[in-house]
Amino acid sequence: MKPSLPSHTRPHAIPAAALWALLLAPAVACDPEDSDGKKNQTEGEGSGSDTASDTATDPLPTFPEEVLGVPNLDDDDEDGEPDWDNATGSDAEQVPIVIDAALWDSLDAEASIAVTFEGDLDLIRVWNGDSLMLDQGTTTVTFANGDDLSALSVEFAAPMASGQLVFEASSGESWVTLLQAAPLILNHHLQPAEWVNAVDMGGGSYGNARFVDTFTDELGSNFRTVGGGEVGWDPWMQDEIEFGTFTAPGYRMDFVLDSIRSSSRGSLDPYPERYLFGPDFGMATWGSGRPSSQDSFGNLEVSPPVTVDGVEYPFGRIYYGDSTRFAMADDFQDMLRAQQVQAPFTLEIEWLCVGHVDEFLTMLPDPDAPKGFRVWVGDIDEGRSFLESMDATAELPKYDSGHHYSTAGEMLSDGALWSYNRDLMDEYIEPAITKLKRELGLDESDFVRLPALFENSRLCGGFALALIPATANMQVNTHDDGVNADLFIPDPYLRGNGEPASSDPFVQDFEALLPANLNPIWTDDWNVYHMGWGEVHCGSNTLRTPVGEWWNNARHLLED
Amino acid sequence: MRIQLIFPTVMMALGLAGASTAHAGVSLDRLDDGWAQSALTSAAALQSSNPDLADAILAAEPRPSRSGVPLFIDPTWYTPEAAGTILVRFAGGEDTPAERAALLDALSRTGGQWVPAVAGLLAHETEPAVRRMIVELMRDAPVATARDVVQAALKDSDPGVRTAALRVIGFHPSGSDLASLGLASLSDPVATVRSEAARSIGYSGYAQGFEPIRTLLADSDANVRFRALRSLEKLDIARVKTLSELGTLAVDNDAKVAQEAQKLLVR
Repeated sequence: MKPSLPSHTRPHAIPAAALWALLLAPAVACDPEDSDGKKNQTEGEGSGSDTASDTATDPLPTFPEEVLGVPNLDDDDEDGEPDWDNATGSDAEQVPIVIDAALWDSLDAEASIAVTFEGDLDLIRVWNGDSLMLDQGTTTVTFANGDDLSALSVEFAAPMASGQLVFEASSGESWVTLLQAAPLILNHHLQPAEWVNAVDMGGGSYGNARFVDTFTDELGSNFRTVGGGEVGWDPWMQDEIEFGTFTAPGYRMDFVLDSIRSSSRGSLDPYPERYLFGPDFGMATWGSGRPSSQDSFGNLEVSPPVTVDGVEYPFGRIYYGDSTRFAMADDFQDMLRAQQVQAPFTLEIEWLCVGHVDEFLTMLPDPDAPKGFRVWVGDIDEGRSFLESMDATAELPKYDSGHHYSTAGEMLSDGALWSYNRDLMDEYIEPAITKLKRELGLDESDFVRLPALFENSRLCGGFALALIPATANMQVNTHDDGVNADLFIPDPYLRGNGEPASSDPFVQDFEALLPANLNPIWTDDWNVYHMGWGEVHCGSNTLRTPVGEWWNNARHLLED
Repeated sequence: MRIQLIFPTVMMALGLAGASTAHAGVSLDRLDDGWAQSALTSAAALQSSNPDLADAILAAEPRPSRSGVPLFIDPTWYTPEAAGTILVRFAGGEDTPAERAALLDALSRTGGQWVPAVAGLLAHETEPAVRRMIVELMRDAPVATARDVVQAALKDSDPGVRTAALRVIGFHPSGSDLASLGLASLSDPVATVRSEAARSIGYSGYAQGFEPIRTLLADSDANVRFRALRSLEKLDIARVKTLSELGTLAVDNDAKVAQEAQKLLVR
């Protein structure tokens, strides 16, 4: 599948530190007598000085076997446009092509070298110093002996863009240098969290001051907010953006996907360009057409690393919700699939009012689990068992106004409520668990089943909303060790007003399930988020540290 | 200023996408109904006792739900005294259909005396999306009121309104007393209505619905066949396992139907 340009970028920037790096791996000369010499290249990693030449006595000069880079989608010059759009000859994301300085010495004085550019011609440019040398308009160039080849560099426009440069000497030798742009790698919960952001909706009965205070108390300066008035009081930070990274050897570019969910300044839409896009922080939007709720990024999650049927996915696998009603934009799905290393799969979310995969499951680090993590998933039978363990007559004031039930006993005695939840469990949640087992190579021991209960929403045409706050819909603040984590979990409020969370029977049951590496932080999300059809995860977003090297760990996934 | 509609597709699916506003209103002071006068009296009382809240209710902008649907979820509204003012704003019809549906949602959380007014306003309501929400609220109404509204709603030209009426049967605490009203909907021309009829009668536990629902096992729509089978399981699991139709359904072209039938055959 051909990589694609973002559908649009809408920038503005704040400064950030610049980084750049390159990989230089030597290639070998092709046997000029090889009938397919242009395609002939040495297999293997090849880095540094391990030239794999088969000419022992008089080694031919070397060319890099491959050049890996990141798409030039950040804004180093802070002009508000992605740098690819402003073609200049000196940019941190242009990767040098280092050619053996002894090249011309090894050839005849009259020799020349023709360079041919093949591949994604519209997504790659080759520079010679400040001059554009090769692009879709110019695909060949010839150098005479003595010409300066020390300032060649490659620039990529899109993730997974690939091509090659074929160097053919007039004497017959040829060399091939592969050009490969990094895949966009989205984050999973075993990656260390660096900072969390959310919208500050202010104080008062309709604000989220307690939510903000909880994050601030725990994370300090690693929790960032944007004022609600600046973003149209749109609190759904998880849905507007998705963080990922582009990496190449020694190089990291943070990246923010800007959802198509909104396109108005009276929403979070301008947030990424105003506050994130800048030097070494790229941004782009993929997807077109009329957005649906499935285009929100609470509907886009990534599992931790897994091995499925013998295939390792060192960066995990992407999963997102799909339904017959609506689906994520086709061209965005195409882009996700084209990244290859996180092989996406879908879960059916037709039953959910909002329709996001984060509404009923999450994945948490667990060093004692066979795969290093467990899937925490809402379960109706656990919900019923939990409610049966409660005092059936205890007043639950939040639920009285919020959900038309004033006690656990009222919930338990509502036969239709349980018939409905039985259907959800049998028809959607269990099949989702079965699919997760198949797609992630899991078994039942890899799951933790959480008490859950859904209501048939009156305002949402009879689709499901969390009745008990969906505790799986949490924000996971993983520590640098990739194991310990603080969990910002929706406070279930299955208790009287004014009573502490520690007295809440749901909280007590939940904490009994937690392994020692996970620290629960019960977070008040009721008024703004839970009653707004979301939870903590929906209202926050976490930038994480990239781990792993796709060029070393995921080569097997990049092969067609 | 109106709320930004983030997901027009969602609004369309929920039938909330219409933009008409001014024609949907009704002047409560011109109605002779007691509920209309009660609403006006209640609103006036709130304006006197708590003008800040009254003004807030009359002027508040909605917030977007996570799927972009406008909501009025300020918890200060969750008081019985707020019901009259919300009704006055709702009846005024100055808000969009989606916002008026959201006002009804807020109204249902007040704990106030809103049922007669909402039921009474059904006859005056021109927007199908709002009629739908009026009907949905009858899940909490006394059974006699719910019966009247369901009967009227099942004759509505909008399938969404008919479906909402069937959900009232399914989720009302006295649903089995209402379920006979839904039997005719098992032959509704719209498949989603037939499906909801089967489901709601099953949820209500109305045993006499077994045979009528059984006829839907041969429905042309796979979703209806599936829902009928699930509903029959709720009404009488032992009996459904003996049905002769199971053999045919076990090899149904639709995988979900076939799988469900096969599960019943091996249980």
